[in-house]
Amino acid sequence: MDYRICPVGDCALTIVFGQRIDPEISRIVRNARKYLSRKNIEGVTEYIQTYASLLVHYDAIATGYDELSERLTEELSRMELMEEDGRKRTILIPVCYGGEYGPDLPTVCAHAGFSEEEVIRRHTCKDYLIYMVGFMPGFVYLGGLDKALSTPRLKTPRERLEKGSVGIAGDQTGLYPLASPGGWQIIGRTPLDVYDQNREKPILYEAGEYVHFVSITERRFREIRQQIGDGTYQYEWIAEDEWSREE
Amino acid sequence: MAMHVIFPGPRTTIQDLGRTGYQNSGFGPGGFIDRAASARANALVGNSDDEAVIEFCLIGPVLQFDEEVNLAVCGGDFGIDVEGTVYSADKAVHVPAGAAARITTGSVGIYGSIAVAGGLAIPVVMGSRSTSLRCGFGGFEGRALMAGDIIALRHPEKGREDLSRRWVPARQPASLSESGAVRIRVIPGPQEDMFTGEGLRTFYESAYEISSHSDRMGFRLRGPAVEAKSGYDILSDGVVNGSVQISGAGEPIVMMADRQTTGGYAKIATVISVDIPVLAQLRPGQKVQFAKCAVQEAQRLIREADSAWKQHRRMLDEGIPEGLSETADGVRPGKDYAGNPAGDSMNTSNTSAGLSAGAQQREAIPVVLSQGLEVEIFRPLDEDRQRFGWKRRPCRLSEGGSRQHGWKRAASDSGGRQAGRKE
Repeated sequence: MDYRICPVGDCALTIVFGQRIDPEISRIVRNARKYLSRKNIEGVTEYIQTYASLLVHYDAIATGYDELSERLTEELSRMELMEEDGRKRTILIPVCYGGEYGPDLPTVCAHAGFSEEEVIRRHTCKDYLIYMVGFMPGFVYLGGLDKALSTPRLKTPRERLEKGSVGIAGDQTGLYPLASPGGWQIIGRTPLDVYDQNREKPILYEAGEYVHFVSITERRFREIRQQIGDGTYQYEWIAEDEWSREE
Repeated sequence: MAMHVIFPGPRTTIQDLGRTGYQNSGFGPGGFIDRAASARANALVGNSDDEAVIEFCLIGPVLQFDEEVNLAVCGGDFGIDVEGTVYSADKAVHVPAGAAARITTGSVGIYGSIAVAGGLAIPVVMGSRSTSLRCGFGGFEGRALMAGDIIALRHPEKGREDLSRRWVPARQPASLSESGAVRIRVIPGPQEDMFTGEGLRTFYESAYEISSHSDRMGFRLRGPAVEAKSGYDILSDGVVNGSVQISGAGEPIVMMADRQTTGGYAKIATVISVDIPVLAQLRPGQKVQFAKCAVQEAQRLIREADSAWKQHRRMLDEGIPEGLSETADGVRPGKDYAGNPAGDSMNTSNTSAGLSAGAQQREAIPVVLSQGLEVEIFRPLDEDRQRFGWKRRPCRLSEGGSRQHGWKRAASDSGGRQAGRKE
């Protein structure tokens, strides 16, 4: 495992594992984050997982750059290269495609030369790896969009995309956890509260997990909204090949 | 007991130290844009350093309180106008019940922090009272303050305390480059290698002007474009407070408190922590020039400032000895207020603490000089004596000498998070 450590100011450093978007590099970054988090290293306050590097925030009064990079090197030398941290975890994200929830679905269909059913089938048949979460709370950088669905961004970004909007921009697909301006082609909307400040984990998922979209009807969309309001909705996860349900 | 916002000012929000622990989910920490100013304002009114303050940009609010209250504003030469009397920044100001406190703006500084003794009753969201305007949560209803807002105080009884003797040392004056631009020190990287030699020379040798398109999220700079080897885009990675991104146009943007957690522009360098408050207080049109600094030096400066500040806070919180503003008799020779030997931890700020007692100037000055430090002596003016005790009367002494005690013992006195630390 090759990596280099360099300072990012006087309260953070970065561990760079590679320079490209690659599921294997992403897995190493994720394993390093999980492994180092468990070590409770003196002075470290936060880890941020990105495509190919891990940003480590620390308290420069409790530790220093030289001391901390030495400690991290020592810890990483003990980390098994391919240590698998838990099973592959995939969250099911129900999406109501098209209509008022997905105003740009016709654009994507026209661009790809597919029917609406075919675009939805292709969009919902994959597990997308969450490479990183950033830009805004819960915004996912997903890998693995079917190239045939690739569509350029809107020429003029919309002033407001509704919370839960699911879209395509170039080779990327993703969702907006909060209402926001944006230039993505919006093909649907999820009823889930990806972000909830009162939940123990305010964002449902994290980098290294997978997202799987599931097509739902408008009626089911409203039911799920109702269940979320009542607190009775069960978020659905797939762990490896087994289905499991958990809060 | 509550605070009433009569006039909010254009961009006035509640901020504290910000949110830690959620950046991996994409939540920027937010928080004080000028930590030093907020700590100072809080110290003046007896709050802990991390208590939420009212932060404004250039134009401050007009506030009214049901009962008497103590306030302090820091961050620039702002003032607090109470019924026609304007009190300066960096002092605790007592505001009678029902009176309006109007913030005035001077010519220096842009982000002001108003601390209210006893703290504001703002709910804690994800570990912080900071307002995130971008996400619409935290602070007061997730938004900037508006006229008519009413916020309760957590400990209104603090408004009845006499805090007039609390004080904070003068802020370090900004250091200027030869061209007159404010010198801002940076640690190179993490993407310095994406720039050409010429680009790096441009970056370090040019003066950059703060653009008016600057806010809590980032300070845009205007000046010569920094040449990259092949484009400014990187594989998105983490962004920190003070990250200097070079955008597509080649101009630097310094990421500040409300930054995103990740970004896709190359980062040429990162502003050091002790210079962030300096940068945060520069107005559009003012110029900066970047200077390289080693990470070890930057961390030494953090510890030095922290140690000096903690010592000052101990002195304030454990009680200012009797006689401070009158005579020198209340202070034991050879000790500062915290009881530490005077020579142990001198630097500009806490030396002023040790000396402004007026106590052992004769004894303390040689100690300071023996450590090769520059000191400023504060002497009382008669009119100041009557009101506040002391006023800065700069009297620079800068005779070199050998450092007998050094800094490190002082750092280890500062208490708290010391375990496992190597010097």
